Amino acid sequence: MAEYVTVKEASALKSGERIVVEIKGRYIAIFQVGGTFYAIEDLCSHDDGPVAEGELTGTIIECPRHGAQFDIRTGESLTKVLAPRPVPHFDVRLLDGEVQVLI
Amino acid sequence: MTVRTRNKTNAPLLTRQDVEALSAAKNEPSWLTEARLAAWDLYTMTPMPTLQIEEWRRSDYTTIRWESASPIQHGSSAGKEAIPPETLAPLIGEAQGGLIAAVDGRIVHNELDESIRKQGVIFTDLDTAVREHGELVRRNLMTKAVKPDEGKFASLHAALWTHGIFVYVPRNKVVELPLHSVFYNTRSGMSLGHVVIVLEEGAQLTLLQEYLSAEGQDHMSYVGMTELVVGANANLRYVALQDWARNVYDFRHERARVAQDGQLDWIIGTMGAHFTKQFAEIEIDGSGAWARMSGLFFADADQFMDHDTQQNHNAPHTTSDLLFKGALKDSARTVWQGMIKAMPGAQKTNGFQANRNLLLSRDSRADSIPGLEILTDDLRCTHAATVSRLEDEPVFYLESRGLPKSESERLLVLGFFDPIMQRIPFAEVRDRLGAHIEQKLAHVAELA
Repeated sequence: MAEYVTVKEASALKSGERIVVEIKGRYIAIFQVGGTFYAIEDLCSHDDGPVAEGELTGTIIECPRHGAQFDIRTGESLTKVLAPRPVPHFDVRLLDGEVQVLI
Repeated sequence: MTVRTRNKTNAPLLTRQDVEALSAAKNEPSWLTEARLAAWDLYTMTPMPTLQIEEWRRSDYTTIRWESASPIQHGSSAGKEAIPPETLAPLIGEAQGGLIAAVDGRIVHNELDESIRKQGVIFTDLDTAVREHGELVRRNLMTKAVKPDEGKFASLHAALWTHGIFVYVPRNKVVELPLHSVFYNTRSGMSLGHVVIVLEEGAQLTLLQEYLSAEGQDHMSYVGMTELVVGANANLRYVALQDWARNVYDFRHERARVAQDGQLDWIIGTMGAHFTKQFAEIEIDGSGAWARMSGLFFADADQFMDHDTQQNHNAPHTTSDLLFKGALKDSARTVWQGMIKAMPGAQKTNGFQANRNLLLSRDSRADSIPGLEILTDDLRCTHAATVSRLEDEPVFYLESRGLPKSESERLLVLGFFDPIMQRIPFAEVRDRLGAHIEQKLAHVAELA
């Protein structure tokens, strides 16, 4: 059953920063870009590697292992030859200054 | 809901005092205490595996909560009655060659048929074997098959193994009735079980090893080791079935050695645990030796299973044959990495490996990585890997014969596993495993 889970550490993120947390046994990467928060699973759909360790340009994250690129707003793959599938993404809301992820 | 930041270096919460306390509690001889402490030193010098290491790059175990998965299990008040009775049923009709059962790292049952004992066969728990057959254990414990320096979890096991079985079949003795061993857990913590089987020249044995646990919330870890030593012209049939509850993280190092003209038939079944990382290797040391490894796994929900296999041909005129078949559903993930290695001088080698995966859901994922490393000539090695969904045509054929779709799919999945199931020599165990597969499939049928 999906529910909103508060991630206290995420509130302190500055634009362009990220944090990876474990919720319900899954690693979730939370990003702040221009005041908006985004969340994707930290699992590259190409080879299951930790995609969130890569370089972030705008809202595009590039996996450090093989260069697969994903849009963190939707999880969509921008390099479909390398990674045909999207990475799971999660809704994020701000409630009383706290960042909450729907998972 | 607990939120935890990612910690890439989290390790079991154990100390050298845990090793000393365990060895003292078992009242072990000094050679064993020293071996444990040497393994502990090795353990502390070895870093925890990370995703940067090739054999671990797909196996992220760091979601484990070591706070609950570290305390060493010393046994509990639970006894043999905790184990589901159908697990302890005789393997063939009413006949039971021998049965050892461990609950939470403590031996609760230890029995061997008198006729087998009279043959000079040793089938007992490892602590008793250390006391009564010290020299024999010392010669075979982590000296021939798996060694403590093979990895972080191997050295951890060597330092802190909690329980185990020791099986020894003397020269030319044939054990007609199968032996049976069950490792069962009821609590969280860390359990470290060890299996040693030594067959002298011309000996024959069949043994079933089972791993099970009661449902639980807190994480449990199993750090195990299996050593199979098959002498010249000996014949071992070893069946190991894992069906841990979903709070278990299973880390295992297993290896068999097969001497000249020896035969090994090794069957691996993996159904349970949240996380499984199993290294299973065969060293074919003598000419004319034959070894077969058959694997069956079925992962569902968020299970992760990783089998790393190795078939090393160290002598000429040897045969190895590996077949792993797996099904996946929900968001399960599996990895199979296999290697056949033919060493210099291993001419006339026959090496086969195949991995077949059946995806029953959109979100499941199977990685299959076969490999060959050939350092000699004049041999035949093959490898194959497939990942596929159920084909429409056979489903349509069965539907055309009047079967509903879900029933057709069920039959096809059972048929997919059947070649491996038939290699399990116990009808009761086959039935139990079949029922479990059907249980996992029932959910697929509901979705269809």
